[in-house]
Amino acid sequence: MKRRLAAGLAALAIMVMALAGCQEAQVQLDAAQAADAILSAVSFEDEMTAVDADMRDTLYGTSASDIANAKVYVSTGATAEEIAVFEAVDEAAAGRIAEAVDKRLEQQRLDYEDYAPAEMPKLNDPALVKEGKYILLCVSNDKAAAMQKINELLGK
Amino acid sequence: MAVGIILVVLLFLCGVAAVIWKPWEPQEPGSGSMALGSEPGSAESETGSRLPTESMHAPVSELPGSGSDPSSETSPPVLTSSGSAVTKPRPDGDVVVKESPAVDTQYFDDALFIGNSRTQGLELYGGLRTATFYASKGLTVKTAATKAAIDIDGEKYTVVDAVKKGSFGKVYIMLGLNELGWNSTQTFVRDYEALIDAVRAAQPDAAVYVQSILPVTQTKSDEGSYVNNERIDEFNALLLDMCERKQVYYVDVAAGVCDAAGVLPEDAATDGVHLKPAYVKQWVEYLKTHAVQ
Repeated sequence: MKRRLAAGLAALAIMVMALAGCQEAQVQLDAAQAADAILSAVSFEDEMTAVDADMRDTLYGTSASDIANAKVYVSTGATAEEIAVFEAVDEAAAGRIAEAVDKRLEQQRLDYEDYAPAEMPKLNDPALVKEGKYILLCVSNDKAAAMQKINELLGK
Repeated sequence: MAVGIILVVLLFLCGVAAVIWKPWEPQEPGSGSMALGSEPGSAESETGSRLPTESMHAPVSELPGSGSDPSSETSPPVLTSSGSAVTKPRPDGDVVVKESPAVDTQYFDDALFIGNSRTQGLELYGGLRTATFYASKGLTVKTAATKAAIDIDGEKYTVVDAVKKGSFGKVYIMLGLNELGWNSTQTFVRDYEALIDAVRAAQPDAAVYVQSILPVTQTKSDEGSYVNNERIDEFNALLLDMCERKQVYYVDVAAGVCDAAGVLPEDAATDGVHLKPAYVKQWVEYLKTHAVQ
C-alpha cells in the first residue's frame, strides 16, 4: 500500500514537472512578427521605421551571433519611442542581449534628460519583458497597450 | 606725361591684384541686440551679418557662381598614383559646392559626419553604412569640445578628441540648430571655427564640408521660439562667410530638402525638425550630387 502510494506520488510529481516543462517550451515567438504586432497595437506619436541588422547592432551593441531573430523600430529622433524584440540563440545570449537593452535605455535617458525632458516618463517606465530566450521592449506613452500585447504574444 | 603713364600702369596693376587676390577681412559684429534666449555664460548680444534669404534656399542653379561660366567650375580632380580621384582638401576660391555628377555610396567610405540629432537621423536612415558618424543629441559647437558624447569601442570622447582617431578623406559638419537661441552669433562662429581648426589639425588631408542648417517646417517656425527659419537663414549666412574666411567647402543641403518657399515641407518631420526617412534620403541625394572630386 505504501509502495503504491509512493509510486503514485512519484508519477504525479513527474507529470507535474513534465507539464511545467511543456508550458515553457510552448512559448514560441517570431520576433519580427511580434514587433509588427506591437507596432499595430500601440499608439505612437512619431513615425516608426524598422532598422536593419547592422544598425540594430550599432544601436544596441549586440552581437549578431547572439541573435536568432530580431526586429527593431526606431523613431525620427523627435521622440524616444522604440520597439525591440529579440530572440536569442540560447539563455546565455539572452542574458547578454538583456544587458544590452538595459544599457540602451540608460544611454537614451542620459541623452534625452536635458535634450527633451518630456521623453523621460516613457524612458523611465518602458514596457520591458524578458522571458526565456525572448526580450521585448516598447518605449511609448501607451505602456498599457504595449504590455497587453506583449503578454498576449507570450501566452500569458 | 611719363608720370601719367606710370600712374595708369600702377592703377592697372592694382586692378589686376584686386581681381586675383581677395585679402581676408575680419567679420565685424552688427549693431543692436537680439534677445533670443541665452547661451550659458555669454553676456554678448549682437546681430550677425545676413545674406539675402533667396541665396540660402535657392536651387543650385541660382547659387552664386553656379552658372555655365567655365571659370566658375570645379578644377579637375586630383589623382593618386593609382589613378583614383581624391577629394581636394581646400576650395579654389569659391567655397560653395556646385552640382556635380552623382557619386555612389562608396564615395562616403572615408567620410566622417559630425552633428546633432539630425545627423543621428542621417546615420539611421541615410544608407551610408560605411561612413563614420560622431553625432549626439543636443550637440553644439561648444559641447563638441567639452562633452564626452562619442562612444568609440566603449570609451567616451569629445568630438574634438574623437576626430583624432582614424583617417578620413572628408569631414562633414552640421551644427547650429541647438545654438539658434544663443545671444552671441560671434561666439557661435568663433566656436565653429575652433572646431574646424581642430578637425584640420587632426585630419590635415581631409576636405571639410560645412553643411547649411536644414530649415524647419513653417508650423514649427511660426511657434514663436528661436527655432525659426529666419534665424536659420541668418546663421547660414554666417556659415557661408565663415567658410570663405576659413577656405572650407560650403554645401547647401538645405536646398535639397526645402520646398519652393524655402522651408521644410510639413510632411517632412513629425515635430517640424527631425526629418523622416524619405527626407533624409533627399539630403543624401543632395550630398551625392554635390561632391568635390
